[in-house]
Amino acid sequence: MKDSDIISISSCATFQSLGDGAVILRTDSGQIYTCNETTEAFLKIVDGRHTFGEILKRLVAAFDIDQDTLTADISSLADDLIEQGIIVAA
Amino acid sequence: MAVVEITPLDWSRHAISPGTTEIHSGMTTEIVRRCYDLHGFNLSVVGDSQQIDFLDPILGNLAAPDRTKCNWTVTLVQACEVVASQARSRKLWESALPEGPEATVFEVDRIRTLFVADHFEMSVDLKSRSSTVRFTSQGATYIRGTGAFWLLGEIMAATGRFLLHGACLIEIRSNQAIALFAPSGTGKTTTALALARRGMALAGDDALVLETSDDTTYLWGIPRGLKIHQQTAALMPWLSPVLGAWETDEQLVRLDALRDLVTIASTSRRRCGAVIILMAPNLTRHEIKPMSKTEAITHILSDNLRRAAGGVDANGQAAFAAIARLLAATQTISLSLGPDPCSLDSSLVTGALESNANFS
Repeated sequence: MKDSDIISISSCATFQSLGDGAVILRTDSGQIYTCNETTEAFLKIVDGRHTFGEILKRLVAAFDIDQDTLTADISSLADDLIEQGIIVAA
Repeated sequence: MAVVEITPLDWSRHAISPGTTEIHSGMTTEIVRRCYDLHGFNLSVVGDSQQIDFLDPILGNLAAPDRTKCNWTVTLVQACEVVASQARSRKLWESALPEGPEATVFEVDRIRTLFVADHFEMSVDLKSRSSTVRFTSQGATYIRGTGAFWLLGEIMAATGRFLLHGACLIEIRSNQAIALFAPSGTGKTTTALALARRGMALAGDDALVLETSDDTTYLWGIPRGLKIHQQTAALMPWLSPVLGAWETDEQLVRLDALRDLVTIASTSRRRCGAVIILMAPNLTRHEIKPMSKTEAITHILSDNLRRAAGGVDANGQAAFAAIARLLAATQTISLSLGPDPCSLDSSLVTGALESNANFS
């Protein structure tokens, strides 16, 4: 994942916030994923307009955590979400 | 009254209006209308008088005067045969109905059809906002079962309402709905009856409607009869006045027949105060705990999200979003019933909800 990649929710996925986490539905398979508040915060910013780098900056501002740790965690998360077909990078 | 002479096997090509008498092979059938008020959405059924009440087992308590202006019309047509839809239809799913026959759902040009060969065909036309139910004499009984629920669910979904598998109870003091979710055969009816016996009111034990209006989510219970299992009756001897002889291990009891035994709620729409997920029984005591919304939604969706070969259709996605919005706006708790359901008091639930609210 590069900082310049534009991230968007896959056309085969839909995401809903629950307040204490979020739930994702893969519409092509019916698979349900639940996620914690960190993932929820990330997915809320994934809108097909912001780059990965911009998303990281917004999350650093929102969470009391050092940038290197957050970058490593979110990069790993993003890789997982791409592998699951929930987000796509362009 | 107009008399229309028709040729045999030609029923389906004549428009049906209430009050028309049609002649077919020497028989006359009066065309009548039956209406239901689904809280501002009015549904009418028009057709053969013998089956006109096929939705009554589900919606009978919501019957409205037959001159009600209706938003959706279901036309009943008895046919000599029911054949498969056109080959160009897209097959959405196929499965055996609980009643036995194989069923298939097709869709073409925004018309969705449930087809059961030699029995019936139910269609939902999103363009004209109408439905047709064609049935053979063999299918006359079957249209009252799973098919009727499918039809109602599709019509509701087309109008932004969602029919879910769950019980609807009312917390009397706040007049808020409490939704109880659990798969069939896991104690939902027993739990709902226990709570309605001691402090809450019962609006429905098996199906409820979720709808959103002005950004507020409302619930109301489908006032259909309860299937009381012999095991439930053994745990709740106070049910005996409404039960007859056990010819099978279940008896169907009308909701209003329970009025002297439990508190029955009106069918009004109400805001949702809480969602209860019924878990496996506890061997020693009733246990109520907060449940995360992410865990709660997985339980609800496992029983209420219909998946087909092509994935989840638009109605399913809309239901998913509506259920998520419901949970986002309300408390979620889990309940494990102890060995004595009769000792379950609604104060245990309301106390847990108040405690949960204080800590959230």
